[in-house]
Amino acid sequence: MINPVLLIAIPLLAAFISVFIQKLSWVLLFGVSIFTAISGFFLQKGMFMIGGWKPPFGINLMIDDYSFIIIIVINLLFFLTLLSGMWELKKNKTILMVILAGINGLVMTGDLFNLFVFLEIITISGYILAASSDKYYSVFKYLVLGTLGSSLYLFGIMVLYGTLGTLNMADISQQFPNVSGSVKIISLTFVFAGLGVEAKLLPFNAWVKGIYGNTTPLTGPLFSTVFATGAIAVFGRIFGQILVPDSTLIFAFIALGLITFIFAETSAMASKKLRELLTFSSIGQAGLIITMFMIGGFYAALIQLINNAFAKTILFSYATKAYKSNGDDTINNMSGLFRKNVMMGFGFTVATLSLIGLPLFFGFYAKINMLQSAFALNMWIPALIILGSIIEGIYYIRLLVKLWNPGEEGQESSELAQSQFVIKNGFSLSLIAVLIGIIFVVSGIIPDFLTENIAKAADSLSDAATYLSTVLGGI
Amino acid sequence: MKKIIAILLTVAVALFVFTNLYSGDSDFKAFGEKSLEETVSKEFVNKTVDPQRVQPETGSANIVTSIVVNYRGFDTMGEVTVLFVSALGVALLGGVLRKKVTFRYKPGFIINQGMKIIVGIILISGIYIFVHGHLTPGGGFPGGAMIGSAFLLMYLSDDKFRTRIAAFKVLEGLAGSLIMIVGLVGLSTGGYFLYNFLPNGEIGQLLSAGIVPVLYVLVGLKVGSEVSNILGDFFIGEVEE
Repeated sequence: MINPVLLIAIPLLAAFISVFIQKLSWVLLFGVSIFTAISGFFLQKGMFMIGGWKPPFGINLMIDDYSFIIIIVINLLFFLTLLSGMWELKKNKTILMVILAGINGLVMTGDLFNLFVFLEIITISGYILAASSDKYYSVFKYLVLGTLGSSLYLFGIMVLYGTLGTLNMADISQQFPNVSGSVKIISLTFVFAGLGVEAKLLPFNAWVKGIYGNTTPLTGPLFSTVFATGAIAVFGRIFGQILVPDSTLIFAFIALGLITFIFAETSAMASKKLRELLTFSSIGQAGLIITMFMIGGFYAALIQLINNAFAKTILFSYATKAYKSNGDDTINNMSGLFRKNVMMGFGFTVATLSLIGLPLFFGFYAKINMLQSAFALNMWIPALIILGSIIEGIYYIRLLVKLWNPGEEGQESSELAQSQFVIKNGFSLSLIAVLIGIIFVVSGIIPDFLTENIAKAADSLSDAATYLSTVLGGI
Repeated sequence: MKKIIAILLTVAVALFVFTNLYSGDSDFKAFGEKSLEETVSKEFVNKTVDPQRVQPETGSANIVTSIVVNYRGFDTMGEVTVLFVSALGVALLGGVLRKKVTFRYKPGFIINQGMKIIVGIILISGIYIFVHGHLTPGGGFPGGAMIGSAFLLMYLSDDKFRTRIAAFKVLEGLAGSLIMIVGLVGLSTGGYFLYNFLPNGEIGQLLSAGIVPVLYVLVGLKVGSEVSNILGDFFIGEVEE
């Protein structure tokens, strides 16, 4: 059994050591990543105080079933990201170790201000990594919006602290229902807006296209899976369990989520470039998952979160690698590319089919559960979800056909139209593709292992009483 | 047009904040009216969080320090990391700066000689501030920033002093690693990360308050070397490498 604080302390220690022993940083980075990926499975559950100060006075880490499964997923994804971006690491190794510590802390922490600190760590690291694409205008936009988001979040928890006199999540969730309506509205709005920037919700996501659309094989999977999963998981924790919005505000939040979903899927339909298409798909998925968290469908939201994260790893790895090797990622120029690398094509196809939720794949369970929990509420939300999913299905199937089949649409395919593109250094990518493809197929046929754990996680998220008694039990 | 929309939006947000915070039934008390009784800070001030420990709990004379480094030391560790990442970012993006920074005005004799006197004083006060962080106002961050300002003065007053100090890179990493190691020692001896495993001593003495001065000296060294590194990156860029 491993104490969860080690998942933060060891990567940070390695990061500091790598500053003065730079030759070892390669070893340190992979060693730390393998350590966290494996030890995620052996994580000790429960509440862990920092410095021995009991909550709500000190800071605590909380490992319940929810953060347990998110930690496993994030650390595995981080390792896959490293494999995908192996050739892009350059001077970024120290920053990557800090990101690993920051993202683990973000998911595990039980304190609102501590969450802000970890949010700062990963967003600042994010700016620096994004700047490696040399698109300084987009990075500056990200910098301004990200900083604004952090400040808004800070303002929100300031109001909460001024009212309740505590920052501990459990303590706040206990007292929050009795707070006057005006304080509720203001703190919820600002916390939502602040986290919405990282979670890519609609009014706050102007930065996403410039950053995700210009990613490298390292930053692509890192932003779209590790960062996105962490941000959305925090979103679920805060609005599903800690600061539960009441009926008036929650409709506004659900509406924002759904609008994000529909708009992003429509924009993806019109995209001509592969990375841009995946970017909009990521935004859409974020909107969809957050909507599910808001309407209380935690189980469906978690399945889709994990499904999307693993699928996007291979999708973004492939797209960024194709761009890196050829300097172009226009979909029309890539026709028939999968014929050259069948293994990658297999992984990509399986991931896509699972993402859009076809039967036989893992994503099917996500879509089914999503619709079930949405239909329990009213007719409009499932109708919009189905609409968005159909749009998503159309553009992804069209993409797959294009990538497998050389030639123009509506004409007989011929080897002449085969793309001239090649994938360089594709070994690690093939490895990831096959690995993820097998995970999706197996978990589609035998979903019990995954779904049981996810169901446990969803239960622990909706069971606020256990969370409270675990954290504040001693008082 | 954009500016008008921006102004309207700002006014709308301001109105939204104001009306909600200061409406009649708001639980958000005006400044000075909040009772400390039901907040966590009351226990911090009285040092009565954990009755099982040797009283007084933290042994540091400065309440702010006892909160920042002891009760909420994890946040401070995080903030140190934030600064660390920012310094790394400056170092990585320093490549944008292709040529050495030079000033239009050459530093004169007075600045040059005055610097030699003042730098020592600034360095000593910086070190004094972070060494006494648990007793007097100040601590690792202000002390470290003062050390950085001493190096800024050196860069400004002497054209020839434009070398990157390699020792700072080592000091930065070493101080950071030692902070984590202090935390891990607490985990192995007391069972909690960043646990105060040293005796508290007598309040007001230089050697008191357990691990607080140790951490603050490390934070001070780390911040000082990081700020100096950032300045070095800005002044020199990638030219000399």
